This record gives sequence, structure tokens and C-alpha cells, in this order.
Amino acid sequence: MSNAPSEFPEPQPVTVVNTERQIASIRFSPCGRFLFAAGRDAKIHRWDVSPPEAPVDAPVAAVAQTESKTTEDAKLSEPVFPELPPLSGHDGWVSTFAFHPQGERLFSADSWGRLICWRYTDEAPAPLWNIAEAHDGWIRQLAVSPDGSQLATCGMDGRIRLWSTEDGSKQNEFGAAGGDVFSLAFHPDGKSLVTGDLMGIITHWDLAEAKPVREFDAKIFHKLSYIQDVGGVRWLAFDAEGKTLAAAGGQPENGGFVQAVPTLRFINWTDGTEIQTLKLGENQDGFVHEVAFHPHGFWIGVCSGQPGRGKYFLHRAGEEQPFFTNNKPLQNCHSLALHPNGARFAVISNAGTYGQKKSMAREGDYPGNTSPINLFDLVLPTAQDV
Amino acid sequence: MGGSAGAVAGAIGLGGLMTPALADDLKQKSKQVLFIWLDGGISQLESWDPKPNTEFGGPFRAIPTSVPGIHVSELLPNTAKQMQHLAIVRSLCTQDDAHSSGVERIQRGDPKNRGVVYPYFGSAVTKLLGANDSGLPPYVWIKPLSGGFKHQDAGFLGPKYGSLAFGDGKPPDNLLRHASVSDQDLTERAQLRARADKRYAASHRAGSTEANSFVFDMGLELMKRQDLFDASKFSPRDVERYGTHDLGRHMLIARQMLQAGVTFVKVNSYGWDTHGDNFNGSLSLVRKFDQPFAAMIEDLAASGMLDNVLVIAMSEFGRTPRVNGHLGRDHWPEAWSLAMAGSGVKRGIAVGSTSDNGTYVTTEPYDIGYMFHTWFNALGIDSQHTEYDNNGQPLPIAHDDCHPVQELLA
Repeated sequence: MSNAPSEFPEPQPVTVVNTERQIASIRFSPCGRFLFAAGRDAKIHRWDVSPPEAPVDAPVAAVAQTESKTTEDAKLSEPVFPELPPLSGHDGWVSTFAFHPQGERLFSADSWGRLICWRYTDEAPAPLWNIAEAHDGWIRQLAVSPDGSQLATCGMDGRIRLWSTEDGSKQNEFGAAGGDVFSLAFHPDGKSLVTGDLMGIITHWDLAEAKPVREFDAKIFHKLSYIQDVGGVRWLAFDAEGKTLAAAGGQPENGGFVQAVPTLRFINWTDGTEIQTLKLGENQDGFVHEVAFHPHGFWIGVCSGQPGRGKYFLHRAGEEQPFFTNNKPLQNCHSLALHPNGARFAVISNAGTYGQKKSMAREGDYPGNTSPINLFDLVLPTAQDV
Repeated sequence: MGGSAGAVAGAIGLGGLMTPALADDLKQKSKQVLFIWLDGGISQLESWDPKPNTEFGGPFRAIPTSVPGIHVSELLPNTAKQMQHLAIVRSLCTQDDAHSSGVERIQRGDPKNRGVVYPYFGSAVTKLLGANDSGLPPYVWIKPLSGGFKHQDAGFLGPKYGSLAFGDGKPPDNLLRHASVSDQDLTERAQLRARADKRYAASHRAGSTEANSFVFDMGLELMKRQDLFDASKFSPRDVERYGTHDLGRHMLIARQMLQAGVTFVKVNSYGWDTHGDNFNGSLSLVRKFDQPFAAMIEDLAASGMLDNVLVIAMSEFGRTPRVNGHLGRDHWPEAWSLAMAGSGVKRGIAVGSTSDNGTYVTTEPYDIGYMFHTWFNALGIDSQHTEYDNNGQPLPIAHDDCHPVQELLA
């Protein structure tokens, strides 16, 4: 049930944390004190985002550069979040990471197939365990089971693997029918796992029996354009009670440029029926890359499409359109992090140059793009509002 | 089947076995070309020139190949096993970053402007190598979508040297003779047409009339060779090796065309302009290229045909090292790569290099003119002393300021 009021205050920009390189995804730690970012520089970056009045006793390596807020209207103070030493040990891109729900462990994976467990609060975290070839190549996503005992990973090798969070031992393995597996999520009851693949197949796996139970149609997320398979189920998430499964991606129009209409499909978990398929823009707007269920009963998600096109939105399942979509340009929003207190969230955007301008490449002046992290506060409803 | 190349078709069909006599026979055969055009621009960083663990290197690993010291992207696992047959050029530096002009510029070899439209490489090769004995069209183009006769390719050589495009690898429409037309009817019709052509030619420009007759002759020959297009005859093993997708099927048809003696076979694949989602796109596209490309090289090498067939795989440019906000790579003619193999080409080498982050060429940069010189010489054509005769106007066959890359020539 949604308890978001009909008139929801616009999220307020807090600050923008700039990064030196592009970032794949961001998350707040379960304690809410840290913001982590999976870098496309093989590092996991982290910032202490404690409120200014809170003591900061973690080691400070550098102070993150902050810049002016995304709206001129914002009159808030501009917090400066100290950047802590990054976690190093990955290769290629750090593609995904997740936290243990209770402990201080962080699990991260990269595009070369490595899976690492860290104690993220350490001053200079060293891997607690480290599996170099957890998958053959790009690990797309990982998730931790609700009880924290298991870690699930999926990858471009078409495999889905379950690991012990304690020691990294492999506990089980499945093969996906549709090849490249993009997304996965544990059901809140911990008994089931869902995976989504490139071909638009969502599979429900029974973890006790280690076998597929049923498939959900998500072909809307796939298109064969010439010889390119385009799209895929980019993200899967459950609501708090596990009654609704949200599948995110885009309805592709073509390969190459990859134009797609951002699309979010809600599925009734009990009977597998489609509750709603929500189109969130034009074919320039690309994909819904991530969605999360807010404790106040609504969904928050991000879209990224052609260079410069991006937005975030807040949506109550069942309503025709999101009740809030940012109307100020925020380039290529491709990951979001919801603070554990529900009152703050962060969205990654993109900054830099696109197009084929040579930009003095021969002289070494050829900057890459970066991923500013935009933080917003939500003004949550009080009991009187609801 | 067209001569000994036709005999090789049988050899390949028998698992690539070939007798020494057949191999000797093959060496006497005319040169042929397989030109694989990845339209839009394959990313050099996700194929021939990987830069793993660098700022612009992307998510993928580099893998070793059959030649020690040469690595390619992990998206080319099958091709990596054929590296001993290949020559990679990593130092292409061309001028044009637009598709519309870049395709023309690359495929015509970018000669100096002499007031004429130069021929595409396929037209040039069929002109310079002369007629083959297969009776089949010398320059065919297997492509998605529509087919037809593409006289524009020929430039000043005249429409006869255009390409015959087989849309989706299928024969031209209405190729089959109607059941009511007997063999004798057909022969008489052809004779009548030949007489009419001759009378028409007496009062018209030779180039157009020759092309007109040529197309009819090709049509007649193709009517006898429907088998070239019959995908149902491919062995299940070959279908699996080449891939159950359009490019795999088109490459198998290309193999049949080469075996039948066609001089120049161009295969197009579309959709490589990965401005968005480049890495997922490359995962799909490059792996689907890898499969039939490696199988083709393996087959041509096993049959001995690779000694006579020049294979080239390329695009109009490469892709930017910088990754844009849609996780795409844009157009990058500054530093990119191609792969080649076969006739006259040194095997198992990688020529040229780029900077650590892939942004520019650090060795001698090669514009497309250098490649045209190299390819002509690989086919036994002295590119620096051979000229076209354009109605009395001598024209160099490749850019006069460029030269063959000796490092690439066997």
C-alpha cells in the first residue's frame, strides 16, 4: 500500500559530488554513514556522508569536490563529504556491489568475473575472500539474501551462482535459457530468486529445489536489430512484502544508437499476471536502469537514454504516470541509491563530452566523461499528511 | 562449379580435406577477395586493439591468440584461434568521421581528386584482375535488406563493373524461368536479345550497352546456379559453426560464391554504429562476427583457398575511446584497426600501435590509400606502376602519395 500523499513535495537538491571517472552504480551503506560507488576505473569509491554534526572518525584521504546544486532555487547549505580511500583489487569495471543486511560486509563484482568480500568500514579494507573467476567475464549483478547467508550473482556467461557470504564457497549454480543474465533479486521471503536476461525472459527459481519454477513474459525488453540483440531486463526488484515484482528496462527500437522507450513492468508475484506496463518517455529516453521500493510505499527509479537524456521519477504502482518526474535536465541517470532512512537518495548522472571531436587527443588533452552524484532530500509525509 | 574452385567446394564439404594436387591447382587460380564490411564502425577497443584496465578500455578482457604476444578482445575467442592466418593493422588514421562521406572515401580508396569518381575496391579489383572463368558475376554483394545491380560502385570504370547485390543473400527476384518457357525457347530468346543488343549498341555509348548485355548474361548464368543460394544445403555443422544468424548465413553463401569462382564477394553487416550501449552491443555484434569470420578463415585455410583469396574485415572508421553518457562510443577515424588474411598477406602479425589509452597512433599512421596499395600488391597488382585508362586519361589506381605497407606483404 502506498502512503505517499497525492501532493508530494519536490525532492530537494542537497549537493553534487563530482567524480574523476565514470561510475556504474551507487549505494548507501546499511548504517547510512557511507556512500559507495562502483567505478569504471576498477575501484570502489566511498564517501563519508554523515551529517556535519556527527563525528567523523573514519580516515580521510581527500575531500570530495562539490559543486553548485542542480537548482538555483536550492538554498540549503552545501555539505562537503570527505572521500575515503577507495577499495582496490578489481579489474575492468566494478559492475555491481551490495551490502550484507546486518554485518559490515560489502560484496563487489567486476566485468572480468572477480567477486570480492570486504569489511567496508576498515581504514584500508583488504578482501576477506576473493574469487578471481566467479564468472567467465562480466558479472552483471549481485544480491544478498534477506537473511544475509547467501549471495547470488549473474553474468554474461549465462550462469547464475549462489555463494556463501561467510566464506565465498559456491553453493549452487543455474543456467539461464536466454544467455546473458542482466539482473536478479531475492524475494523478501528468501525462498526464491528471480533473474532477467537479454532475451526478455524473467525466471523464478526455487532455491530449495534449485530449479526453475516459472517464467514471466518480458519480451517487450528485447529486440533483434539486424544481428544485434538489444535491450534486456536491466533490473528486478520486489516491494517490501514481496507481492509485486518490478522489471525494468526499455522497449528497444533499434540497435547501434540503441533508442528505447523506458519501460517498467509490474507483475503480480502470486499469479504472475501483469499489473501494469509503464512507458516513461520517448525512444530517446532509453532504459529504466534501476528502481527501488521506498518504505513509504512508492517506487523510485532512474532513466538514461541518448547522451544528455536522463531523469528520475517517483511512482505509485497502479497509477497511470509517476507522481513526480524531475523536469530539469539531469544527464543519463543510470543508478540510484536510497538512504536507509528513506529521506535522502542519490542519482548518478553523466558529465563531459560526447561526439567524435578529436579534442587534442594527440597532445594528451582528451578527457573522459565523469559521473556526478546528485543527492536529493525527500520531504516525507507526516502522519497528518497521510 | 567454376573450375578448380568448384572442386574445392567438395573438399570443404568433406571436412576441409584436400589433395596436394588440388592445392597446386588452386595456386594457379585467379585471385579472389572476400571483403567484410561492418557498416557503422566496429569498435577497435572491443575487437583488434583492446586496452584492458585503462581509462577507455571498457569492461572486457584481452585474450591471447594462437600467435604469442598478440592479444585481441575476449569477444573474439574463435578468431583468436585463427590468428596465425591473420594480419591486424592497428594504426589506421583516416580523415572522415561521417558515415555518408566516410563509406565512400574508404571504399574508393580516397585517391587525389582528378575530377572523376573512383571505383569501389570491388569494382577496381574486378577491372584489374579481368574476367574469371566461372561465368558468374565478378563482383557480388551479399547484404541485409534489398538487392539489385549497384552501378554506382563502378565510378568512371562504367556500369559493367558495378556490384550485383543479393538482398538477404537471396537471388534476384523472378530469376527462375517460368515453367512454360522451354530450354529451346530460352536459347532463342537469348539469341534474339543478343541481336537486339548488338543493333542498339551500334548507336549508343559502349559502357551502357555493355553493362546491359552483361547483366542479362549474368542473369542467365545465375539461372543455372540457384544452388548457390540454397541455405538448406548447408551442413548442420557449418550452420552451427557460422552461426544461426543472418551474418552467419550470409558468410556461408559468400563461401559458396568464392568456391564457385566469383572474383570479389562483399558481405555487409549493418548496425555497428554503437553510439549507445556500445558494450552490450559489442557483446552481441562482435561475437556474431567472430563466429563466421573465424570459421571462414579456418575453412579457406584448410582448403588451400586462403592462398588465393584476400580477406579483409573493416568499417568506415573506429569508435571513440571516450565513453559517452549512453555508454556508447562515437566515430573515431584517428586510431583504429582492421583485419586481413590470405593472398599475398603476411600471416600472424599485428602491425602498428596506438597510445596506451588508444587515442592516437604511435607508429606510422596509415590512411586508406596505404591499404589500397597493400591490397592491390597482395593480389599481384603493382599499385605504383599500374594505371587505369579512362578514355585516354591515365589515372593511378591508388593514392599517389601513399605506398604499399611492406610489413604486411608476404
